[in-house]
Amino acid sequence: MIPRERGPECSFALSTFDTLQSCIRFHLWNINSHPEYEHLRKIRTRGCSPYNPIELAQGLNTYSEMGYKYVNKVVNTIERCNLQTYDSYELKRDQTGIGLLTASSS
Amino acid sequence: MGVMLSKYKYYNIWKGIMSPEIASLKILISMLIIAALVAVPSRSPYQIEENVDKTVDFTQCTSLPKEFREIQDLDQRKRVLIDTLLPLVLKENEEIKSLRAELLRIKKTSFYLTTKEMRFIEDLAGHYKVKGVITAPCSMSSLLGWTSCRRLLCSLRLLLSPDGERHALPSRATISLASAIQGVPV
Repeated sequence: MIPRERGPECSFALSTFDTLQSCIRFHLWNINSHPEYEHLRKIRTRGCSPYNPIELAQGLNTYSEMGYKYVNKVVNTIERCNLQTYDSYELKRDQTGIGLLTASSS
Repeated sequence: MGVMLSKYKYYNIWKGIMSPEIASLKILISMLIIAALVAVPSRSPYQIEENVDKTVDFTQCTSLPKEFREIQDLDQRKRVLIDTLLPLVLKENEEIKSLRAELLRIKKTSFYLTTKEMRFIEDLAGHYKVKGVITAPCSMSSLLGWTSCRRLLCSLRLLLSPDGERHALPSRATISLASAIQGVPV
């Protein structure tokens, strides 16, 4: 989707999603595949679970034009909102079933 | 068509793009969405109310509640946002983890890949835009930063079998394979 007031010199566009789930799915896929997130993926590969989100956030320097200012913003928000609390959260057991393709079921 | 390919090279591709658990990423995702939707105040910190058993119900929410925009209190807005998004992020996380588990299962249970297993890996590689998994070893080497796989892949390309049987690798390829595997911690 192209914003109505986008300047002629700009080339950005917006993505729209029918559902929140598809938005999140796209976001994860983007992080796992886009060349701009290679830095983040390398940080993740070097580490081990549980990962440190503050460390991972350093790989978001190309996510925004703000660069490392954006990284700092993300880090500050994670810390201020204590979002790491959610690292240990899980779906209820009977709800983790998935319907994705597997080699044994395909 | 039977296929004889090392599962190790696939494992390492995915090791590059998918770590065992991306639990912390859900925080990151939540953060990005929060940043997009809510101006984070510099005043009082938002304190999460801890769920005792740390489990959440998955409900397929297609959108935020209608009244979301009308919520004036920022802490409450964040609460609603996180309550809505967290189960969806966790669900997505579970799906990725299950795909990874399948890859690891393939790695553990079979030295050579069946056609189904190869198709599964190819589908995943396509989904994650990992180019040239089979046909362009150079690009994969570049992706992995793992130069030793080039020789291995060149050898393996020659080993595609026309039938459904699993075959032993010729000695030359076995040497290449062993060499590659040696440098790759399981």
